[in-house]
Amino acid sequence: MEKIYNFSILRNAKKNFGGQLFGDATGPISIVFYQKGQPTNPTDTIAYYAPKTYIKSNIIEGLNIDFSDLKYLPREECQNPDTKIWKITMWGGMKDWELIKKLNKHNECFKSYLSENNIEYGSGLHPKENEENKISIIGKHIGTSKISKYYTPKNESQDISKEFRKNNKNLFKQPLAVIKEGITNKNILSSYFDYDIFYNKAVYGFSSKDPDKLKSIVITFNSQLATYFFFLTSSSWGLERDRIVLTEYLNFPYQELDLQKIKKLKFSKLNFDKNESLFNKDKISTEINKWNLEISNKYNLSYNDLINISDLIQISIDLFHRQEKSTALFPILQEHVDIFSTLISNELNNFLAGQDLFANATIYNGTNRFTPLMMIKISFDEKKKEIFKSNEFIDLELKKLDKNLWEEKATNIFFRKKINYKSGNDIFIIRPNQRRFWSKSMALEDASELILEILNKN
Amino acid sequence: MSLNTIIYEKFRNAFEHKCFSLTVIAYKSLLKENTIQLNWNENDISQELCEIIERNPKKLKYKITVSREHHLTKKNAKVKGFADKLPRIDFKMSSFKFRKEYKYFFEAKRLKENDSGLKRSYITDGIDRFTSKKYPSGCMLGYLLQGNVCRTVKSINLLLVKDKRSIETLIYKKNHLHKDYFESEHIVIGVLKHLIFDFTNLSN
Repeated sequence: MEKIYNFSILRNAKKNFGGQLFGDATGPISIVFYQKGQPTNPTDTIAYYAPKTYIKSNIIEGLNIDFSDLKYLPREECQNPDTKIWKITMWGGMKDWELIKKLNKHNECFKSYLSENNIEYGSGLHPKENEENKISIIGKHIGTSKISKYYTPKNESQDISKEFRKNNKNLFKQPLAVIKEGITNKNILSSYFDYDIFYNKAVYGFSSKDPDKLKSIVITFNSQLATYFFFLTSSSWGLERDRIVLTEYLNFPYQELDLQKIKKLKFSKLNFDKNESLFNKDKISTEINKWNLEISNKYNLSYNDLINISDLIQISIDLFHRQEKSTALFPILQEHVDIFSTLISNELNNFLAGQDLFANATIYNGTNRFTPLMMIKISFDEKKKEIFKSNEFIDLELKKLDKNLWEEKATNIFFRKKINYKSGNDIFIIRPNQRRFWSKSMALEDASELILEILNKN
Repeated sequence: MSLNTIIYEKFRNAFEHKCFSLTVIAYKSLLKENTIQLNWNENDISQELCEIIERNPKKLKYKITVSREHHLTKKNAKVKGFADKLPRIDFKMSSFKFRKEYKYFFEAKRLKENDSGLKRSYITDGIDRFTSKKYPSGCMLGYLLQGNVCRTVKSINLLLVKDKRSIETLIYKKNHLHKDYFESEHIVIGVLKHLIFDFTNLSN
């Protein structure tokens, strides 16, 4: 195997966003091109192309494979039949693969935690199939769509009196934690119940005499970490149906949160802002932020890990769910360029520590939101300087350059190159004018790549 | 177009500094752990060094990987047994991303003040493999198992002088990472760096 092109991302895409590739098919398909005999020089890695966008412009019309869509995967891992590397790197990169490996290695799986702590679990009520295997249910019932993140008020439930397939009644007695099978608003949804409640089969219930252990479950599964983990590892979300099945939840690398801190929490009184915006952290309730921080500490996540998690949620998950309306495709703002420039120059300076050479960034004010490309300049100097804001007008040059970046690989399949142009003391970093290419994680990625390019005199 | 040469040099120096730092930390741990036996061969000591480097969390921060007994590929005809004849360097440190990789090699040799065979081997099977470009860029590691560092280096230098290579002798240089640090100048490759790891004070 030398190359794999994964077009399943376009399975649900609109017709003008790559959707016509699969017609009405919902399941992914694969096409294999092969040759007789082994290649003369097999590489240690396999090139994996997983494009995410389709483009129609005055320059091209077709499937767009960006540099960020190409990953080189270790051949040895690819040969492992149980590997998750294909799913992880479909939306993420090798850094995400490493982080998932680290999470699995250093934490016990959720299933073991449940069994060690005598927490009963299972799915909700299934329709009755026969008279022998039935249970009569009388009480309060909550519809799956009525379940809210963190806590569901009792007035959302309704009275029920009906027969269902036999089930463990403990799964419906308070205190309870539930996790929805389906993805809601781009997230996993978990809720705590301090009253008896019946729920349907697409909801998994967790029952224990210790309410704090259940609250820990609810907080953890509602966290950004859980969303990140399941989007990258679930066999269905992002591929077929946007759901996580129980066996997948049971494999989550679980860490119980500090129960002493949780003891003080009364979920029904807490203000978990329902209209949280993942794109504006100010809008996330302080309570959620506090617990996300608690989880980062518990899981020993580094600053770079947090950047990867946050960017995967804000960029990749958003791009998957909102497609052409995703903010990941929006033109970048000045603040994005500032952060990107600061991060990339910091990374280069950390590498160069002690060498009396510093990477200083120049950003260009004279570009507008319609410029197809954006550029920053990194200059090496003996002195460390603040970011320089240049008023040089570079729009026209960038527009000219854009036309030369597209390479037609096959009919309607285009590869967009990126540019790290080096000259004298300067490196010009030129990328498409979309937020996904100017994220914090992209700055870290680009810095590592630049360092290797320079070490190899490329 | 390319960057000014000084920038490439500074980046390579920065990478080399990180490799040295990981290796010297591993050497100091070996001294503390006192696991090295003075009758071990160089591969045994290199293995111990690599295992400690592997465990150092700084390795992840630096994004550096370490691997032992690296075979250097050659374009010669491939006939039965060719792999065993490939030049083999003790260990390499590298940084990689996508298909780009940068490698830094370490050639290790045992040294004893009273063993001229080992000192000769340090030159012919060590230094000369770098100067003949059989080995790509990297540095020499000397594992001193008997005697004194200065006197042993002086003896190596005497051998080089005897070979009419006096300009290539090892010269002590101050290095804040490691006290027993030397450099030698060679016409073809420029500076070759030497780290001498003194194991003579081990209690076993």
